[in-house]
Amino acid sequence: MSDDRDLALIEDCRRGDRQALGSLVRRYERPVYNAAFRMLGSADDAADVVQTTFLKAFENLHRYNPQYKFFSWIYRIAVNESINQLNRRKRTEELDERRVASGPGPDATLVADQVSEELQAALMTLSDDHRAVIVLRHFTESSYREIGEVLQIPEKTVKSRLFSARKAMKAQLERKGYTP
Amino acid sequence: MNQNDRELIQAGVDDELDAAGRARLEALLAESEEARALQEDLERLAAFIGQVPPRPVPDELHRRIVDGIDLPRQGGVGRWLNFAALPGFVRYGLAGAAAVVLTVAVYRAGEGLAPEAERDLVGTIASRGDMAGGREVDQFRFGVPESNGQVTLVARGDVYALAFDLDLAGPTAVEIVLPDGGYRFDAFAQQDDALSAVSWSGNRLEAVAEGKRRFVLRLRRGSAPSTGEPVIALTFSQDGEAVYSGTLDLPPSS
Repeated sequence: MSDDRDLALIEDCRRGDRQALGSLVRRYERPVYNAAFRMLGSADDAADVVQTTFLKAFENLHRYNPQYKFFSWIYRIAVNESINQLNRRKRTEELDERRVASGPGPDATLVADQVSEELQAALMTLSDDHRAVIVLRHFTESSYREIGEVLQIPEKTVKSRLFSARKAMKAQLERKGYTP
Repeated sequence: MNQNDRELIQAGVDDELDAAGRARLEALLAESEEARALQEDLERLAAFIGQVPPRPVPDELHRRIVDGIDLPRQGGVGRWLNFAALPGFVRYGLAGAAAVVLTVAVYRAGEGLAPEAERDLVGTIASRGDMAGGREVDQFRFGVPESNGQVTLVARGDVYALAFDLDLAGPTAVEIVLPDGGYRFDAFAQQDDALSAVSWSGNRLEAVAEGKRRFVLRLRRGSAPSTGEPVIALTFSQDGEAVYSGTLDLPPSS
C-alpha cells in the first residue's frame, strides 16, 4: 500500500471529502477487523472495536503524525481499543471461557475453521501483550519496526516478546494435540 | 545457544535480517543442531498460523464505520486556533488598499431570516465540541456590487461565536472591535486559509479575506463587566476605504 496514497486520502478527508473517507476505510477495515478479531475472539466485539477505532482515528486526524505510517497509527488505536474491550469484559466477568469453550460454529466442519478455532483458543490463553505481538506479526504482517511503533516499545522488546509469545503459543497448541 | 542466537533464528524466519545477519545465521545453523531444530519449530508455527484464512468483514461494517464519522463540511470550518497559543501580535501579508466607499447599513437579525448556512456552520463547530446547542443572538447581512456576506453571533453560556460567510470580489480588510472590557477573543477557525492575514491587539482584530470565505471567531465573556456599549463593531474595507460596517448586539454584561 502506498503511503503517498494514504496521505492524499487523509488530506482529502480533512477537507470533508466523504469519498476519500470511504476509500481510506476500505483500505484498512479488513486487516484491522482481522487483528481485532484475533485479539478478542469475538466477531461482534471485533466489529465494535473496528468502528470505534476508525471513529477515534478520524476524530483525532489532526494528531496524526505523517512521519509514521497511517496503518501503524490505526493499528495502535485498534490494539488499545481491543485491550480496553478485554478489560471491560473481565470487569463484567464475561471473559472468554464461554467464547473459547463454545461449540463449533456453523461451518466448523471445515478443517480451516477448526484450525482457526483452535488457534483462537490458544491465542486467548496468552497475555494481552503476547497476543498483540502475535496478531501484529502474523495477521497484519507488520515488521518488527512497525510492531514497535504500534505498541510503542523498542524493537529489541518486540523480538524478545515475540519469541516468548511464540513459545507459549506452541505449548498451548501442543496441549491440544497439534504439533506445529 | 543463547537468547541472541534464538532471536537471530527468529529474525531469519521473519525475514528481518540484513546480509550480515543472514551470514551469521547461516554459520549458526551450520554448527548447531539445536539451532536447526528451533528454526524448524518456528517455521512450522508460522505455517500453522498462516493456513488460517482472513475472516471476511461483516457486510454492514463498512457502512456503519463511514456513517458514524463526521468530517468537516467541504468548504466548511477548519480547526480552532487558540489566540492564547499565538504570539501576542501576528500579522502576515496584510494586503494594501484603495477606493470604493459605500454607505453603511446595519442589518439587525429578525425572525424568519432562515440562517440555515449559519446553523450549518455552527453545527460544524458543534461537532468540535464547542457550540452545540448555541442560540443565535444577532445577525447582519450586507450586499454591495460584487461582494456580499453575512455575520451571525451565536451564544452558548459565556462563549460566543461570530460566524462569517463572505463572498468578496477583491482583497477585503475585516475589522472587528469588541466592547471595552468584558469580552475577549478566544479562538478562530478557518478552512483553507480563509484569512490571508490576521492581527489582533486587545479588543480589536483585523484580517484580510478574498473570494468565498467562511470562518468563525470565538469570543469569551470574562468576569469583569463591559464598560463600553455592548456591541461588536465590524467594518469591511477595500482599497483602504470602508465599504460596509455594522454592529451586532451582545447581551449586557452581568
